[in-house]
Amino acid sequence: MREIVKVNCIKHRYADATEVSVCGLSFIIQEGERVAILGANGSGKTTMLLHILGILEPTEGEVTVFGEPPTKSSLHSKVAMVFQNVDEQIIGPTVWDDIAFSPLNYGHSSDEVKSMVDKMIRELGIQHLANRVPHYLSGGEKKKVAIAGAVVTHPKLLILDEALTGLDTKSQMETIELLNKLNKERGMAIAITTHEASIIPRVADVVYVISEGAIIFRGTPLELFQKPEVFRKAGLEPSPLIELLEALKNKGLEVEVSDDLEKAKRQILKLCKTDNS
Amino acid sequence: MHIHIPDGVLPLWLWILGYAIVIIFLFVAVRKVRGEEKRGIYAAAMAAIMLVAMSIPLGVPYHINLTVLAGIILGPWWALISAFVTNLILATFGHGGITIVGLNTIVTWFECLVGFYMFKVLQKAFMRKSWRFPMAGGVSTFTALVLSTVLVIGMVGVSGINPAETIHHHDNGSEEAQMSLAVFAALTFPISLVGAVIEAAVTSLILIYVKKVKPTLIPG
Amino acid sequence: MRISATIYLIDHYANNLSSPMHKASTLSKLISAIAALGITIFTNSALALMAEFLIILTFIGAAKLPISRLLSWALYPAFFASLFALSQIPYSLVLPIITIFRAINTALIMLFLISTTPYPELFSILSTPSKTLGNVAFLTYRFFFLFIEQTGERFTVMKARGGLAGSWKIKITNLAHFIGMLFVTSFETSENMYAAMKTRGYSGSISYHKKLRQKFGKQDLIPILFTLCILALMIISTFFKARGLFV
Repeated sequence: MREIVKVNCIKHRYADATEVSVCGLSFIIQEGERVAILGANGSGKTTMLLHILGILEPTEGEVTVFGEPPTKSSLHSKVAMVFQNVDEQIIGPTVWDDIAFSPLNYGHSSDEVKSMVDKMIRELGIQHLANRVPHYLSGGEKKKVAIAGAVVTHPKLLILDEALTGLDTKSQMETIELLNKLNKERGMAIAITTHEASIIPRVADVVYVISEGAIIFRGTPLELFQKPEVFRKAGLEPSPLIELLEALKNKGLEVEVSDDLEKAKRQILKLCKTDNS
Repeated sequence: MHIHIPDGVLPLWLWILGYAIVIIFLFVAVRKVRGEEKRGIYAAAMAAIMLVAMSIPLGVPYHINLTVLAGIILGPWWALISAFVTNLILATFGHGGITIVGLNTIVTWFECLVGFYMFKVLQKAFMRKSWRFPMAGGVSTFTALVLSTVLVIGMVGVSGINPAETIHHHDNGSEEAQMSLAVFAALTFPISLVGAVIEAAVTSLILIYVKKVKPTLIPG
Repeated sequence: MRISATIYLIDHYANNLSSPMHKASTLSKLISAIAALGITIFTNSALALMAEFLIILTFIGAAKLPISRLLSWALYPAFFASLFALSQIPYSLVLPIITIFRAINTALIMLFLISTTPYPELFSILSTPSKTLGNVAFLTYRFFFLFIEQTGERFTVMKARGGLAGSWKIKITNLAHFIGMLFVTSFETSENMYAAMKTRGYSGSISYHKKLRQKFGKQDLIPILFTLCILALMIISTFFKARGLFV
C-alpha cells in the first residue's frame, strides 16, 4: 500500500516563542488505512494534524503528504479535515450552501455542484437538513454536516480532530458507521485523534499513541490493548475491561488482554468453568 | 457614535448624498482590499463583535461601539466595509433608519479613520512608554468620538431640520434654525462627551488586556 | 435595547416560521418594501400614516409574526422621532404625529421584511455588485451567532462569579476585560475558521443558492398586495388633501 502521509520528528515555534514537537516513531498513513491517534490533551495530536494540513510549517523535521510538502495548494482537494469545533468550519448560510462550498471553490460547474451536493446529502441521510441554517442544528447534526462538507469532493484522506468528543452514544455510533462506510466504499484513508480508547477498535486499523510530544507506540488496536502500560505512559487510563483482564493476567491466569467485550466474557466464563472443575 | 435619527426626518438630498458618498468609497475600498482574504475574515469578525458588544450592559444608558478599535485593527478600507455591514444590519430593525445607513456609515468610518491615524501617531509619540498602547487608544477614542459628534451636529445643521422652516417662510427662519441647532448641540454634546469618556476608558482597558494576551492583534 | 436578542429573534422568525409572505421571493419582498418605504417617507398626511400603521400590523399578523414584539422594536426609532416631534409641537399638532408615525411605519416595514426574509437572502443581493461585500455580510451573520453564544455563556459566568458586584471601578475593569476577552477569542475563532476555509479551497467567494433564484409565483401576491394597499391609501389621502378634506 502506498504511503500518503509521512511525518518525521517535527518541531514548530509559535509567534510567542512556544515550541512544540512531535518526535519518536515516524507517523505514516497508508492509502485506504484507518488510523487512530491516541493521546492526552496537550500531547501534540492537533499540532501534528495542523502540520499535515499545511496550516503549520515545521521549523525542523519533515512532513510529506502524497509525496509533496503539505503547503502546496493542489493538495487541498485530496485532504479534508473535520475540526474539533465544527462550528468553526461550517461556513455556508445553509447546510446545502456549506456542503457546496468546496466544490464551488475547486471550480466545478453549478450543475456538477448541485449533483455532488444532492448526492452527498442523500448518502448521509440529511435531506431534512438541506435548507436549515447551521446555528439551529444539534451537535450531532453539525458533525454530519461538517463531514459532508469535508468529503463531498471525494478526498483521499479525511482527518478528524476529536470528532467524536462531546457526542452522545447514538451520535457517536452513527458517526463511526458513516466513517467506516466512507472508508469501505471510497477507499478513503481516515485519521482520527481521540483520547477515548474504547472507540479505537471500531474506527482504526492502526493506532499511534502520542505522549508529551513523542510517538511512543505504533501497532494494531489489539497490540495496544495488550500493553496497558502504554496507556499509562501516555497519561490515559485503559478501560475497566482492560484493567480487569490485565489484573487477571498478572495473577498468572491465561487471558488475552483486549477491549473486546464478547471475547473477555468467553475467557472469564472459561476460567470460571475451569475453576469449578 | 451612531445617528439614531429615524427615517423621514432628514431631507432626501442629505441621505441620498450620504449613500452616494458611501457607495463611491465602498467601490474604492473593494478594489484596495483585493486579495486580502484573511483580513476580510477579520472585518466580518469585527462587524459581528461590534454587534455583540453593543448588547453588553454597562449599567449606564450607553452602548459600547468599538469603532475606533475596528479602525486600529482593520485599517481604513476594511473598517469602511465592516462599518457599512454593521450599520446595514442595525438599520434592518430600526436602530437608525434604513435611509440613514449612508450617513451612519460615514460617521462610523470617520471614527475608525481618526482612531486609526491618531493611534499610529500617538504610538510613535509615546514610543518608549510602557503605557503607550492604552494611552494612544484612549486619547484616539476620545478624540474620534468628540469629532464625530461635531460631524453629526454639522450634518443635522446642514440638513436644515427645523419645524419653523416647514411652516413659516424665510423671515425668521434662519434665527430659529440656529436656535434649534444650538439646542440640539447643547443636548447632544454633553451626552456624547460622557459616552466618549466611557468608551475611551473601556478601549484603553481592552488594549491593556489584548496586549497581555494577544499582542499580535494590535498593529505597532 | 438588547441588540443581540433582537437579531436572534428576527433570525428565528425569518427561518423557522412559515407563511405565504415567508414563501414569497426575496426580490418581490425587497421591491415591495422599498416602494412602501418610499411612499411612507413622502407622505404628509397624518390620518393616512395612521391608517397605514394598521395595514402594516394586519400584514404582520397575517405572516404569523408577533405583533407586540415587532411593535416594541419599532418604538425605539419612535422614541428618537418623538424628540424631534417635541420641538414641532409649538408650530403644529399634526407634524409631530406625522413624524412619529413615519418613523414607526418605516421601522415596521423593515421589520416585516427582515422577519420574513433570512438575512443571507438579502446579503446575496450585496454579492451581485461586490463579492467582497457579500462575503463580509455572510460571514458577519455566521460569526454573530457563534460569538453571541460564547459571549452569553461567559457573561453569565462572570456575573455568577461576582464580576459586576463590586465598585464602579471594578465593574468597568471587569467589563472591559470581558470585552477584551470577547475580542481575542472571537479573532481566534475567525482565524480557525479561515484555516478551515483554506483547507476547503476558499478563494474569496461564499455563495448562497436559495431564494434569490426563485421564480415569481402566486406567493408573490402578498408583498405586491401590501404595497398596493399602501399606495392606494396614499393616493386617496392625496386626492382628499388636494380638496382640503383630509389632514
